[in-house]
Amino acid sequence: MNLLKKSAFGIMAAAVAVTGVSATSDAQYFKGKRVNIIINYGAGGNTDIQGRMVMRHMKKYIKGDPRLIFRHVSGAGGVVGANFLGEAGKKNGTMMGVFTIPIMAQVMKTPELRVDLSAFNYVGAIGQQTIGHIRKDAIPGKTIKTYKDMLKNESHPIRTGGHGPTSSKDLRTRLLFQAMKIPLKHVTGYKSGGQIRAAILKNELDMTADSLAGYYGRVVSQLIKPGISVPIWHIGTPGPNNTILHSPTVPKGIPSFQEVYEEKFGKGARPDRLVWNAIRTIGASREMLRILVFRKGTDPKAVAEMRAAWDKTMVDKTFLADYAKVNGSAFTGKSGAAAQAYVKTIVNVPKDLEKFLLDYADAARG
Amino acid sequence: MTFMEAVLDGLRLVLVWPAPGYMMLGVAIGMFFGAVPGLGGLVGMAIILPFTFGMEPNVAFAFILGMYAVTTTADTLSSVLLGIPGTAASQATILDGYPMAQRGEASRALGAAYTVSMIGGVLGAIFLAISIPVIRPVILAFSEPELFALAVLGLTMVASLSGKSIFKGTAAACFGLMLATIGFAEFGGVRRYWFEQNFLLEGIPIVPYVLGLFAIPEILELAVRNTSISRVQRDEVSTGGIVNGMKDAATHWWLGIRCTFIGVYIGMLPGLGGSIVDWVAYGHAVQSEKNNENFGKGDIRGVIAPEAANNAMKGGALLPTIAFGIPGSASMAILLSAFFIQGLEPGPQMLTEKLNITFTLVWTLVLANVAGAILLLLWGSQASKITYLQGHIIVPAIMMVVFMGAWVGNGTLGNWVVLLTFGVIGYFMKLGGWPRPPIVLGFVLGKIMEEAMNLSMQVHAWGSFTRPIVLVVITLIILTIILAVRKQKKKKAEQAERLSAQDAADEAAPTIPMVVEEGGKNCPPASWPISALLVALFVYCFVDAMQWSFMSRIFPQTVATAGFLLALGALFFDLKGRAALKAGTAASDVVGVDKPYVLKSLYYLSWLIGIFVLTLVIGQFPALVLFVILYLKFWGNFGWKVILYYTIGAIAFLLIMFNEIVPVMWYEPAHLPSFFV
Repeated sequence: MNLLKKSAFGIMAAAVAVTGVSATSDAQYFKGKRVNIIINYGAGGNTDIQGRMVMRHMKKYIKGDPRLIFRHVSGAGGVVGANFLGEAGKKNGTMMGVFTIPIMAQVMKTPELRVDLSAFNYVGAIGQQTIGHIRKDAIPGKTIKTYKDMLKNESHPIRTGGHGPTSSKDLRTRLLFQAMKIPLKHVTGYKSGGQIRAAILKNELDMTADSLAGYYGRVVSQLIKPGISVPIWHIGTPGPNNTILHSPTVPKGIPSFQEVYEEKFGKGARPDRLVWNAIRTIGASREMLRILVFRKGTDPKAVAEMRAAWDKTMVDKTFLADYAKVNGSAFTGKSGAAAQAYVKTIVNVPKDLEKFLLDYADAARG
Repeated sequence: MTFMEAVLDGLRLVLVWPAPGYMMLGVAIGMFFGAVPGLGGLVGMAIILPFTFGMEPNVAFAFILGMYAVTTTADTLSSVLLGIPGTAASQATILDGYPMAQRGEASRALGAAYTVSMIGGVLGAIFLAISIPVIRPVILAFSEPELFALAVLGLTMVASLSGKSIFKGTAAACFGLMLATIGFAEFGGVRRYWFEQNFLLEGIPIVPYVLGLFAIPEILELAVRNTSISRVQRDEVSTGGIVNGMKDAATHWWLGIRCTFIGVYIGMLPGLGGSIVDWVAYGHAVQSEKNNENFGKGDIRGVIAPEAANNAMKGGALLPTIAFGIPGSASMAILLSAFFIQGLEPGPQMLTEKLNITFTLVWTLVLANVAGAILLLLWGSQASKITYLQGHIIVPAIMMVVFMGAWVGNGTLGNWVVLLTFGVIGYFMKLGGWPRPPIVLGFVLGKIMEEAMNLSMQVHAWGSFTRPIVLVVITLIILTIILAVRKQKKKKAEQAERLSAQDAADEAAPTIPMVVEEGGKNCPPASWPISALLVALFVYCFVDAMQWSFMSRIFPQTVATAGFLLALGALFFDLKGRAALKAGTAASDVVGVDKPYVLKSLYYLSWLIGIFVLTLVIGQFPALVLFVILYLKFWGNFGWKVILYYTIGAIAFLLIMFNEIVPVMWYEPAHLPSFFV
């Protein structure tokens, strides 16, 4: 038994020696450490690709040059990964999330989300607009060349696709069409944006929306350039005085939803208050689609160190060039402090809006 | 650029330095990721993708595709040698590959597998090349109704995988279909059968599930019986060499070609992919080959069929990705990202002005497949020596690989819960003569079927069933069922004949069959509790689903109803067999339970559960190392010198493999300081 004990200590000693545990100093908090990066979607998806790309650039600004280990903890639209970090993550700064924010789960208070997204320690955030595009032949007897060609359609349902009644894509699509008073036939349950695009290619669906990365990376080559579809709108950035502004990351030729709405219903017109507020909330969530976060209670030194690295990354020319290459558009992001403040404004929605969204999602359950 | 110029320029680009160097590096990495259970091509691609930033397109694709091409060649190693599927695409290979290893013919199985893998991979790439200009209408003709029909056709193969009892086979398939419904059903926004366990929201992870079902029962047997994997001595085998395997591949060339085409077509259809291609090819071999009574007992054709198909699939899978930008799998989604990083747009331009780049992909697939297979053929004989080692020496090493393989996916304890749960289920199924392949087939097809059914009904409604391809597939389904029923009848008659002949022979000289096919055993005392549990499970699933929306419950309730009736049928025959066994009137192939063996197995099982408990207390890394020490000491009775060397090797393996090469997030309990900071 004595020998057994010795062996066990030997093993521990060897493990310590090989993995290189060392004391940390305030100056280089992460020196000799491993930081586990949790990605809340599967390998190969937009979150994964973008997360790895961002961290590759950010690594050079993290003092102490820690080793970054990527893990995918996916499921339930990113909720499983968020729970994992919030509940099981260490507080010593060795576990950080690079997430697509599952914001609607919190806004609608779905029971599977067990952590408060606004309680995470935000290192930074990246915004990504959403661009809607439609098949040119979606309305029989008419060729849609711009968004204006579909404004008067109030009889022929546009076939749209989504991932599930509670997904942000479904809620957004249904809300926008309802606001525009354009009939739609919504098909839900597609596992990925790729599947929806394939359905559009096969003329089973007419319209969907993709993030800028998806739009420039896939949609343009598959649907826009071959002349199958045209872009119609982007959701836009919530602005002051109940407005939704044109996002600076989107070309002028693709209007914001507000511009399209006002084209049909007149300058300053707005749909039902709750519908409009729901659209603004979803629009706001696009301003910090990807987030870099630590769990609540993480050592402030670790948070400060990472925030400093992120701030430097956001102005790094190589990063900005790589970002533009991968996403097809300019980078927009927020510092950790700004993201921390912004997320609170999104998740704390009035009770009536929360109920409206819940009922709205419920109505779509088959 | 003419077609021929593009072909030659594609070859030139692959051969221009540093592309060949990166391709060979990719091949080496791919062989490693394929051979270690739980890793696979997807993990490999996700890891190497960031390294391609800044590379020239030909170099980047040589690197990525070099790795991707050979994972399904190298995965045969653990499937054949250990009975553990190296990747999802080599699950069916174990059905005949592992029994061959038990018979001392591991090298022969590997020789055949690598040869057909190479040929399948090369033909798949050639098919890709010649299909690019004409494939568009074929891919666009396949939509959700066609996928649903094809998945149902796939399910009809259960008959070929059911062993002796069609009731057990089909009930097991229903169990697999039911398991596929666990988790968050996005289309209905409903959480199904998740028992408030976070890790189940994503559904059951396939790697720990398959490792549990197939690997744990084999390890239990090795640990309890302390035999080598090969049940015969090395010098007793005269037909086991690599060269013999290569000759087998040549003998069964027509089967290899057929399965290559199956692989290409399945790969081509987005949504089907790697996890079913081997089963479909295997099912085809069983259904179409003459003298098929040895399938499942170590028939070389059972290795050739899936191995030809799973390499050929990769050429097919590239088609929709290149031609339309539609990735059929997660691996292809990563490849698509690589396209974008390189500033390439999948679509028509890949067939016109960028045709030379497309041929770079084709040539890389061809060359990587050839290089990977040659390397593995050279190494196969050495690797197969593992099958002659004593059980107690290899069990701790295999356990580490299995536990870590199950962990790699998303690094949560839930993966180990799944591994151990299905390890127990797999063990009792094996004991009771329940075939395990239908559960896997049901599981992988269930996900495809439910999603396709849901979308088909929304998009096409009842028009789904009148589409031309669907009608053709429905005809094939009917024909397959008729043929399967006829074959079952014939098989039963032959079995009865063989049984009476064997009875007479056994009286003269009783023998124990060395390898029993999946579901080939008839042990009512061990089988009836499984039947009864399944009956109860299907009732629970049906009732629990009643509160969900229509679209969320239709599939699980339909499966539960069918499963209930089939499990009831299995229970009836089990109870009948049990009564006959008690009365001493049972047929000679009906056997009882070997109680000492079962008790010892359960004792060992408690050790495996001990790893889990120990992990919660002292952390994952020390728990695994401690298991190795304790196993070697108390099960293997080895001396401290052996234990010391073995332990050092185990620590080095864990640290190099899972801390450096494929770094994982180790589980460390909150109450202890972190080793892996």
